[in-house]
Amino acid sequence: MTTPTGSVSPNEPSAGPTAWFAKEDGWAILIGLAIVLTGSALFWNGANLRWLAALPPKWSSPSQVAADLVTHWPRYGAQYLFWLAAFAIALRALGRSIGTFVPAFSFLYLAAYAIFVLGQWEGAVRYNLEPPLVALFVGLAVANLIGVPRWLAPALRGELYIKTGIVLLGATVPLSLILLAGPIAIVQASIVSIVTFAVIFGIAVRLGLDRPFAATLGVGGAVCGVSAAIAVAGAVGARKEQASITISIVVLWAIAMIFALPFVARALHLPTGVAGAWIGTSEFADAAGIAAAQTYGGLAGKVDGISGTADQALQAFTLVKVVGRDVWIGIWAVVLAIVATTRWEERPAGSAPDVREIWRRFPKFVLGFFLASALVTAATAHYDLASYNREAIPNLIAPIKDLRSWAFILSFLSIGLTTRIGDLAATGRKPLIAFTAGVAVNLALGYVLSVHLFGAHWAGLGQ
Amino acid sequence: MTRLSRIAAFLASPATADSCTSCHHFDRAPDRIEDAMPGLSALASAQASTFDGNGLCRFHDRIINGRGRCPAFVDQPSSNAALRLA
Repeated sequence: MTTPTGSVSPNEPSAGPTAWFAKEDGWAILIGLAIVLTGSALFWNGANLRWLAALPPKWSSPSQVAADLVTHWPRYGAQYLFWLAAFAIALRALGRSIGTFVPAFSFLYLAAYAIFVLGQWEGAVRYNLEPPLVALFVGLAVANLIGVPRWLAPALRGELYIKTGIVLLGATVPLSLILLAGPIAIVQASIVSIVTFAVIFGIAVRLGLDRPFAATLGVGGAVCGVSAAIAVAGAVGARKEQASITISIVVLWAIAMIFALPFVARALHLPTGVAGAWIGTSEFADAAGIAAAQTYGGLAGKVDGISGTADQALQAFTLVKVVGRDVWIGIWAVVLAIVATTRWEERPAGSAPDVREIWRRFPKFVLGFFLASALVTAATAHYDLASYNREAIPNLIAPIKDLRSWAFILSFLSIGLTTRIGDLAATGRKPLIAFTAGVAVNLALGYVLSVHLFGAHWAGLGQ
Repeated sequence: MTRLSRIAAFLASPATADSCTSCHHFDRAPDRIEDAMPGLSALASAQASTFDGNGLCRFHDRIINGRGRCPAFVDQPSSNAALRLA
């Protein structure tokens, strides 16, 4: 649509292929699929991405780390340049400055390397130094105790990094597993989402909060945290202050759950797949949930009483949270926009329903997750289980998995460094009570569904 | 008009016929939206698909999707063009 001056209206959603690259999701898909396609092409030709997917080794003495660095610094250098180029191009296309991004990202990459080194220490598990938690904790400590210099801000794009990581995660989840476990994930997530929304919305209205605020709070707890809250805030015309309060509550609860859910799951000795499903049901953001699921999955085989594999925790989480909850954001937004416009007394000035939002608000990076899964499934279709384990896992899956770990750690560091508790809006008692009631119901219901009703399914995921 | 017919009318109506996307008060610049709401960029992004065309109405101080025009509308398209990715 053109304006009278002939320029394209910036507020008119654009259509066609260029629209994909006006959002971070399109770039996450492009970067993730480029890695998967390159890895697959190399694999078919007897090579692999291992050289680029450098990772610090397990170590018990600092000299081992130094020796690895002396030997493999060209690999780390190439990987740094790869990530730098990929994300710089993406952010430039999104209208951000490359000049400020380069020094900031360089520092972030070095910090991520340090986090990996710490996580590879043989005593890391004994002291709960799992890389996701360390990255978050270090980031939070720096942001809230010391302060983050402004020059670092351009690299703190946690959402872009986590979406790229989720696309890469798709390469490690067979398509058959998504088709098999997806429907149960959707059923479980839908039950919890609807109940949680009803609880938060009902209590918020009963406490006297207006309906747009109650709806924004409700989806923040029930669907997809901050992303859903902002989507619905726009759909129902919530006040900026109400959206800010919702964001603050979601961020605080999400950060708390990153530490609490793995801790409780560990105390209960939940299998990794079951814990992943519970985290997928009860965490409020993708990045926060992946941090929790990856942390818990990392305990498999290292802590007595925790059965399953690290992959099961991440796979179950992704199926429940991403496939079961995230993809419905557009529907929630459109339905609530219709309700707000036709039933609520206060009409949302500046907002109106549009059924096309179901697609426009669809978290497109999920398509990248499915495509990556389909690509790797096709690339390895002719392998039997033994040759898949012998050939495909070390030469195709493992390098992608290691690159994915880098994307996740960059995201976790970014989250910690951008979460300044003092800057968050004062929440007030009523919204906090309503949201916390939803959290309590969500946790209990998510536990019952993940552990008891679907426990056997999640415990045996992919086996 | 019954409730169902009102819903059907909304779904059928052109989505942008009376939008406020070119309003002087409508701000969609991702940086400014993220700055205006601390915590937004920690666990989400103003440049995510889910954000769609949401923006900040500076007149009503609301998050809106820009698809409904209100009496406070002030047409200033050039201003918003400059705000695209400021």
